[in-house]
Amino acid sequence: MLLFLFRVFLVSAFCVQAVYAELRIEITKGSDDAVPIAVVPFTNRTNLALPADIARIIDANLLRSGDFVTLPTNKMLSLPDKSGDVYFRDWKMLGQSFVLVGQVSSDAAGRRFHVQYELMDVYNQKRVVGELISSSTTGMRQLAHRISDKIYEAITGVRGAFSTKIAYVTLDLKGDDAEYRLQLADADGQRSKTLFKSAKPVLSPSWSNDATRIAYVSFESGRPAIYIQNIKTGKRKQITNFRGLNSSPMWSPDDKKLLMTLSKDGNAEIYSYHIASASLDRLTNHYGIDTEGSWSRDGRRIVFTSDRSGTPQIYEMDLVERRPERLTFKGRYNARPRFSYDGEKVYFVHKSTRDYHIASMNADGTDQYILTDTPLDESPSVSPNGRMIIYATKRNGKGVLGVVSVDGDSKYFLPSSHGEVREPSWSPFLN
Amino acid sequence: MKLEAFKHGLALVLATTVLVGCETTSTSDQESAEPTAEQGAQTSGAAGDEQLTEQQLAEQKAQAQAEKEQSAMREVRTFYFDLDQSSVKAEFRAPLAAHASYLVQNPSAKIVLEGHCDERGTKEYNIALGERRANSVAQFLKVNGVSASQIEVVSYGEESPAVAGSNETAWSKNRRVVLQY
Amino acid sequence: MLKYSKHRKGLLTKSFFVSLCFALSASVSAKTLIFQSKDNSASEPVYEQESGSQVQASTPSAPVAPAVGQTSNINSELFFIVEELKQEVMSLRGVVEEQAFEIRQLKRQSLDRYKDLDSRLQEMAKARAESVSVVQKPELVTASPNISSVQGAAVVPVVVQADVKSAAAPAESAPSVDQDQQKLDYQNAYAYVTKKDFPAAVDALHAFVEKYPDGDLTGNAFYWLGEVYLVLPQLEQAKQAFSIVVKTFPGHRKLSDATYKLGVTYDRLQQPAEAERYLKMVQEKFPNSTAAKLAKSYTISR
Repeated sequence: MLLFLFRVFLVSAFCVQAVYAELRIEITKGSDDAVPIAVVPFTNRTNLALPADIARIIDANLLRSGDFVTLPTNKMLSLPDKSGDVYFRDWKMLGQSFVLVGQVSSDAAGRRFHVQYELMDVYNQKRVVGELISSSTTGMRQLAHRISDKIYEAITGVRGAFSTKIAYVTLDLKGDDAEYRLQLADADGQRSKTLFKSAKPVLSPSWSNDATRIAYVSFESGRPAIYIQNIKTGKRKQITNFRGLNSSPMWSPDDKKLLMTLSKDGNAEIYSYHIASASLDRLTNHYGIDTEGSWSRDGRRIVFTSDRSGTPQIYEMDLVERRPERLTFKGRYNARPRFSYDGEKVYFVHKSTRDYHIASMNADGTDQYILTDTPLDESPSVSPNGRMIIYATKRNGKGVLGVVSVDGDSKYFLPSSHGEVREPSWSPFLN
Repeated sequence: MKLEAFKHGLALVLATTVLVGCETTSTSDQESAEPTAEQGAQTSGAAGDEQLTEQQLAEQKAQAQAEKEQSAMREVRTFYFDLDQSSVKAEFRAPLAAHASYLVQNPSAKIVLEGHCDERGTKEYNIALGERRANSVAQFLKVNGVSASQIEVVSYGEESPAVAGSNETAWSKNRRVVLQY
Repeated sequence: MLKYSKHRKGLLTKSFFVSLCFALSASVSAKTLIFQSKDNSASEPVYEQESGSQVQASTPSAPVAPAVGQTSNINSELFFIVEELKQEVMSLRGVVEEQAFEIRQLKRQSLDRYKDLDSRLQEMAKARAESVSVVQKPELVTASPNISSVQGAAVVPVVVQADVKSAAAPAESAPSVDQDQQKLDYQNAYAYVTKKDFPAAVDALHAFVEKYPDGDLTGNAFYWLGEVYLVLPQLEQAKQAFSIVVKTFPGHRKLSDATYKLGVTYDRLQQPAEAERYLKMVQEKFPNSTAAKLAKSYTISR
């Protein structure tokens, strides 16, 4: 019954670095087949107060993924901090499959921390993975995310995406004044910072595949234009400012081109824009709306939204043949498709009878599933390991971010402490 | 004046041609053309007359009245749309025609058409939908003689709702095109 | 007059095309058919772009406004007709696309059905041929009905139930299964599912339900078999696996999910009535479950 985590409402209470915390996590649903794991608090062998509770962060990461169910500390019979002290029988009795133990030490000056961790397999009574890594005092959170990645991969065989980033847009309304911000944060919503601020709408952030730049739409001139901003330097560059629409930028796999929607030739069409030469290649041609293009990983195909058949539906197009093929046939509204990293799946927004949900399908249009159950879900963006989808939704009338596993089994929200949060974009792997 | 009348006849025939099909016999052509010619003669005769007849006074009055109505109709600056639709509703055709004739008579006047959507659906599709709505209004104005250079179109998608809220009342107020001089 | 109308006829066709072309390519700016007269008597029809406004504005006499109104009424009328036609063409395109899709689906299904039938016939023939050798290997006897019940995609569910029960019977008399070992085996099998190694998952899950026909996790294993088959997609087998969970594991914690997925499977098998039955069932039996919500939002293709 431990596994039975359906509809468990849990507000995680870790507020380390609460100063930066803009998005706080709330788990609403876990997977029925989650692997039980005990993350034992790491012993602090320094005589300093640690800037972050590593075990806490790892525990929260694993729990949130939906692939694990973690054991609360007060249920643990002992708190070992190295493999030799782990009594497998105890953990077996507690129904645990894995135990993570570790300790933190520091150099003499207290400037660098060393973390030693070991992951133990309870049934096979052996060490799965372990390592000694160090970091500066400010890098503790990243370190915890890195360990989470290692553990996730050791157990599931899939690379962890805990040390990735998310970009999103927030909107604060102060009377009649609007403040849009393009934000950047850790995948768990912590350590957010502002990349760009404007009184006019900011839309559609998209990560370059080398994770160094973000393309987005800004209305700062009163009309929409596409910008590229370097994350490290903060430098921005206006890329397009055509008559009419300039929207929906999306990087090509080689980062040399941007897919975008322009209406300079009359109505919304999808173009491929070669960044270095500033040349355009028009990809679609129909008096209906064509927009929201997404590139496949091999760069050979795109999927996009078109209402050429009277209602918005998702089409796929080979970039050589350029004959759009419709993929969605269920329902009267299917839009904003995004390819999965392996190119096998497409995630999109589907309108069921009344509500808008995130749905998934195979790249050939088969196997369509609805993944979310809140009423106004949009802007799906896939994690680089292909396991989770971050999306925008409304809770209590406020825009928040939600995360759902690609099988729809587990789910959590990243509610913001202030303002509306929308249009999340999950970064690629950062290293 | 003859010209004006001729145009009427032509437009009428044109309309019938479109509706009935492309086969028009020369007889039916003639039939519809004849009353036109008469009308034309009458009007041109009246224009030659220098004295103000009662009829003309009445016409002037009517025109003044019409102008008043026209300017009243021009007060309508927000045009609403049905869900996922971008065709101009019948009720807004007269006000838009009034705007059109004003713009035709004042070629230096310029307008901005702002397209908007309700919050439902995806942001980028909504931006395109907002533009299509604004374009639909722009097309109507152009068909009515307004020069393309007088019109600018901007779509805000769902970013600038007129009314906050997640219900049909709010949504129906947000699916709109706003005409600004 | 006659000369006029002749003239006009030629013009008509032209103007018809012009306005149509204009309206179809929404981007092209308004072109209006007008007559520009150098002097009032000899009016020569001229086709011009975007100058209608000037002509009208330069004629100062009284009835200008209504005249503009009327001409543009006709233009507007045409504009709306073209708009309507565009919409009509788009929705017709939609219908064509949908029907093409349905035809593709039907083709694929009839091929699947044929293949399924063919493979079952072959299996039957093989089973008959093997029936002699089976007697010599008694441990295989208990295993084979179980496998065939799932892989053989029996059409009548009753047969499946019988098979599963008969397979389960010998296990009951067997010594009690080591719970830890069972859990470990399950996790190993489930790991293939998470790693998306579906063929390996099928093998492992089959091995699991064979080894623990009546275990705590057997229902789960059948459920995941169903999921994997649904992905593959081997719909008949998926149906079989989900049916087993629904029919032979009452009260199982995967029951709501399995019922929902069975509905989905029937939908994919183009059996909307059955699909609806199970999607309704999950909403009635487990109104608060996530599966019920999913079932509610699921649209059955018909």
